[in-house]
Amino acid sequence: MHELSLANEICNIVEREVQRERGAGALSCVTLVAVEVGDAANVEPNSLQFCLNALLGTHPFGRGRSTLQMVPGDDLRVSWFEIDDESPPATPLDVTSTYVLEVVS
Amino acid sequence: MSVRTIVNVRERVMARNDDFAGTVRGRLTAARIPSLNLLSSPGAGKTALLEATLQRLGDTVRIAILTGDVQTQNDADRLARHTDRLVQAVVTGGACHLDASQVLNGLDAVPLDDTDLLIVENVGNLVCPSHWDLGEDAKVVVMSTTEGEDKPLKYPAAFQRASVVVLNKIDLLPYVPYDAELAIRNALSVNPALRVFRTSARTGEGLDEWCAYLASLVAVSRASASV
Repeated sequence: MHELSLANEICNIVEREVQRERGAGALSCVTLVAVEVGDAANVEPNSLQFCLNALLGTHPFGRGRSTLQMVPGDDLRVSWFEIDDESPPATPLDVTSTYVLEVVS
Repeated sequence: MSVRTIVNVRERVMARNDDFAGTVRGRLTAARIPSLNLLSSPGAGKTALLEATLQRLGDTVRIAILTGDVQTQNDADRLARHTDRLVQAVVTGGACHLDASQVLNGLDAVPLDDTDLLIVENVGNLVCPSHWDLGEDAKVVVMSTTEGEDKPLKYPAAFQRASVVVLNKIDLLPYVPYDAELAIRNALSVNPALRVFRTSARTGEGLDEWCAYLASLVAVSRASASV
């Protein structure tokens, strides 16, 4: 899925910048990620935001959300992100749990 | 009390891909190997065109091919029947396009000193692949007579970023309600600089011109090497 690949790369950029600014432990302090989406970037904004929020809401982030700004052009750019240094650590995703997919016809 | 800090980034999301693309381009340029990135919607005939190209050019142009597919390596298997050279398959596992890191990894298996031309057959999709630089010299869009003539208008980015358009399956023109001139006019309206070929991978029509174009890319590259 195109938007999921892009969301993953956005998270990689934020992760790298957070580690440079605060260290790896600060990822759970990221509260907001701002992204500029070019109107000719072939990106579906709702889908990108859905993917971004899903990634930012889970380990190693936990409490992040995204805000998208549509701009002219074909660029896609991480604009800025917000860190809340005093925010309590997010509950990490329980990756050991077993999830059952229920098919509802 | 909450202490919130804003960290400015202003980084392009494609920057990392473009770094990989730059490495691919650098390696190919150093080896004097021209490269093409074939795009199309699924079923336009990229693989059939390459099969016919390999048959026609034989050993006169040493072509390395890297194929991208969401699942299976069927395309690579088909192409491998027409060449003794390595056809490298990249299975994206669900991703709708190739990225430059995959091409860079694939390039490791290509004997660059024994290659005249690299062709990347991208995943069948006219949206996403057009936005990913793979380090190629030129993008080639393959469209076919079983599609709509308005493909260039519906997917302008692919045609705007391409240098060449191939109208394939022209052997079917007597049997399908397809206006080839309108399709080409549409393509040129999106990108007037497009070079146009009309081919039938099945009958061989137009393949002489297409193969001559590929051979000319190699000749120009070799000539620049000897300067």
